[in-house]
Amino acid sequence: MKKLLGLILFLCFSLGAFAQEISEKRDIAIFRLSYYSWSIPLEALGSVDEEIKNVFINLGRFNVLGMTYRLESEDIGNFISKIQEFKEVKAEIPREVLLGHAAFMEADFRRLVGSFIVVIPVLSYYDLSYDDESKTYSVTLETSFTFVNVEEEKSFAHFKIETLGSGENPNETIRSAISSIPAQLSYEVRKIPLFQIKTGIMDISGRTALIQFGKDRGVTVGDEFAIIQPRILSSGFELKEETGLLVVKEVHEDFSYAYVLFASKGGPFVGDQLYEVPRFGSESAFYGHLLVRERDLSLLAGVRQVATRGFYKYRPFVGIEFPLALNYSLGGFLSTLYLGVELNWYLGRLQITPQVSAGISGKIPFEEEEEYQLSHAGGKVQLTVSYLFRKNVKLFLDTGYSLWYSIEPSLFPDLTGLFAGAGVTVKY
Amino acid sequence: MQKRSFFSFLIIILILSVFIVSCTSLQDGSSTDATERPMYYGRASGVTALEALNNAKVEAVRRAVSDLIGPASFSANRDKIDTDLFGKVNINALVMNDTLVTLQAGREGDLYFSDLGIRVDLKALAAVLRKNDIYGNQITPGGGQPALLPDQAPPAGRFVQSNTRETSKETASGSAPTASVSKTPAPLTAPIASPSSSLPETTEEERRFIENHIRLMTYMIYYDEDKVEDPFVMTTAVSIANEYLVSQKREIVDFRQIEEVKRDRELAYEESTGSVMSLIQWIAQKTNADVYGEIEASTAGETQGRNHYGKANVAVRFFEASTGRLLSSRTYSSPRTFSLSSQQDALANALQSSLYELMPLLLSDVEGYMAKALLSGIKYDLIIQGTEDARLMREFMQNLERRVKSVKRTFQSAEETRYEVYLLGTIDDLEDLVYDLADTVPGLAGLELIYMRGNSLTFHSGL
Repeated sequence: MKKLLGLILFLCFSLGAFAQEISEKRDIAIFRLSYYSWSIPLEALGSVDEEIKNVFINLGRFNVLGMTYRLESEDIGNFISKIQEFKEVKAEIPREVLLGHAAFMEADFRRLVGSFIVVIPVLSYYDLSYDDESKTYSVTLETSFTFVNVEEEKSFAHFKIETLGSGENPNETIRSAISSIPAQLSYEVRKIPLFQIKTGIMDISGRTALIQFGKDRGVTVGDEFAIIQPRILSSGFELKEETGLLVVKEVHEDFSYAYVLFASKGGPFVGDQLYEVPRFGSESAFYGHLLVRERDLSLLAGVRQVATRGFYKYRPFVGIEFPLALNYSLGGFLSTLYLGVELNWYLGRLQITPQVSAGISGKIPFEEEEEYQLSHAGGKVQLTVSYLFRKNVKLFLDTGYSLWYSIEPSLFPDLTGLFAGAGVTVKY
Repeated sequence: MQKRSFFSFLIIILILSVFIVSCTSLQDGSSTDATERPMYYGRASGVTALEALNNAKVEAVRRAVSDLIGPASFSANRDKIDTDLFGKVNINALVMNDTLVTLQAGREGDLYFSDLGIRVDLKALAAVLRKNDIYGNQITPGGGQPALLPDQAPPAGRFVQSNTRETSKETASGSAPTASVSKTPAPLTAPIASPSSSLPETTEEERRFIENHIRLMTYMIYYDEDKVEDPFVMTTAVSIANEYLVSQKREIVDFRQIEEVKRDRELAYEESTGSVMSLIQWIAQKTNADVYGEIEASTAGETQGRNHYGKANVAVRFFEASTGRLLSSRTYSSPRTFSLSSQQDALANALQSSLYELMPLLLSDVEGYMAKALLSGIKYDLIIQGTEDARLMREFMQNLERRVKSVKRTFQSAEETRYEVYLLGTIDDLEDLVYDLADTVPGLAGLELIYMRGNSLTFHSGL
């Protein structure tokens, strides 16, 4: 049962579902951004459209087609026809056919010119408002994306992205909302099974695996790949188990090096199948610390947000923590905001992470009439030892030294001293 | 006396023990020979190193499938194996990656290649074959006994690197992870297993001879000139058939050589055969082909707008060149092919792809048939000139009968005697044999070879 919990099993009943082991670049055509009757500045629409286009290009796993037709096509049907005509001209007859080894039928030809995906982005919701009190604008943008397989004439994926923005003028507000689109869109696209990278291990050295694909497919440092072991049941059906996890530590043009976090059955081995684990690229660490302050013990609770996608050895983080024991006596919530960087040493599932951070604290008063008040400035150094308990969950122990000096010693005591604690990290 | 009996008893016990132990170890030896996870070898190329690796695994499994279900079933289920087995099942489910050994790997031009050995999971393979209704030899619908195969012999003279964790950055940059690079192109099609291996009545020497003979047979392909619609299309069809044979390492008679023989000797053919034998067979004999094939095809084309379509019905027959005996006959109706350029293009594709579909089946038929036919020996014509002494020739024939599979006297006169000799050996073996026999028959000591051509030997008795 325990073993089962550690495994994600995919029962392959559908024909051809797992036939492909190495991802191929997909032909994709992005239709221009449509919108309903929202009154949106044209510049803003153009920016959204550009961001969307850039995400698909930068993901590396697509051949983006029809860039010259997307704006001139009146409707989606016209857009598809133009791309089909383009593909017909550029169509490369398979080598096997040219050699006379395989028959080439009309269906093959239709597949050749029709095998592409059209992305239809629509700005489905837009709300710009002004707050008289704070004298700022805020905006909500909701963009929906539909993916249509032209060959099969059916849509196979659909999602919405909601982004928020604020600013002192409408343009700045909308731009801030637009700037959030790429990260979310990239994550949503990578989540679609058809677009997930499927690759394999080409070589192994110690705990480092050499895997196919690098920048050419948008692989980024910090990306994770699951080792997939297929198994045939006596009935002939194919079962797939996740037997290990790798994290990418070095990316080259068409290959990458990945560190083996764990692998069962003595693996991994050359030739093992890998599936991309799509993640937003972040970890949330929830923790509790006991701070030894002079002769008192203070309890702190906090959450640390670590950026993982794009980082391997050194990773930045931001965090917020609350010295719980002091809150009541001070007549408000003390909250500390900090920024820092961590150094990661991987020892399989075990991870040793020294961290250093700096920040400020302030009191959020219980009473409405009181104002927010800065209380401390300083930082902390700490050492975290974590264990990858599940693919997405780590348990950890922290210890370190806090140096939060009071800005108003008469009101707030210094928060300095040794601390220790524990927590859980969720990867997503 | 009692002491002596006791010692005799001890010796008998000892002999029995040794016998039982040796029997047991023999049994053990045979059980370790065949295993559920035999080592198989494959070589293939690919656009990337990983693709080459996967293709090589597929090649190794393909060989295991052929051995598991037999070459006949393998040929008959070729499409199903390609689509249902290799097209849908993840190859890693059928092999043990921890047993992978790299023999050679590297890059040749734009393509990577991989030459490896890997253990194949026959239990998994058998389950997939049964699920897809692919049966043969060890794979029966009911299951029953586990599928077992012995390890395949490793290809000789190649560097071996096991699936260890040693690697280098050079590998990553796309260069060869192992030292040696072979320039031999990788055969991407399944090898045709020797059909003679399934013939139990033969001795080891005969089996080797049959295997060698089949492997070294020369093929000649031509088309039926009486039913030809477009000589160019038919020529390309012959080329495709020849290309397949060459890819399978079979000897062929070049098309141009056939044309030359045909042009030069059409008259000679009329004179020598009186049209009893077909011209193609006559050319096959003249070019020393062992097997010849005749392609017949009818094609139909159609054009709709700017789309062109083609369809071909192809029949191919293979014959033994010396006897004209039919070895295989197969027909194929192509799907409706498509071309944007021309109807001719669509027709050529229909015909060529049909030939390519048929050739593995035909080759399997021919080799299977020849393996069985060769059991009764290869037919040679033996002519001895100057045979006035009929009694002497009778004695010679009786001696010959004891040393060959069979012998038949087809003509006798004072001028010459003709025999049809069936021998499991080469024409040189027959020549040596005739000299040996001449030494044993008084009066034939002066016998000497005066002419040899194809499968025909002509001696003069020296009388």
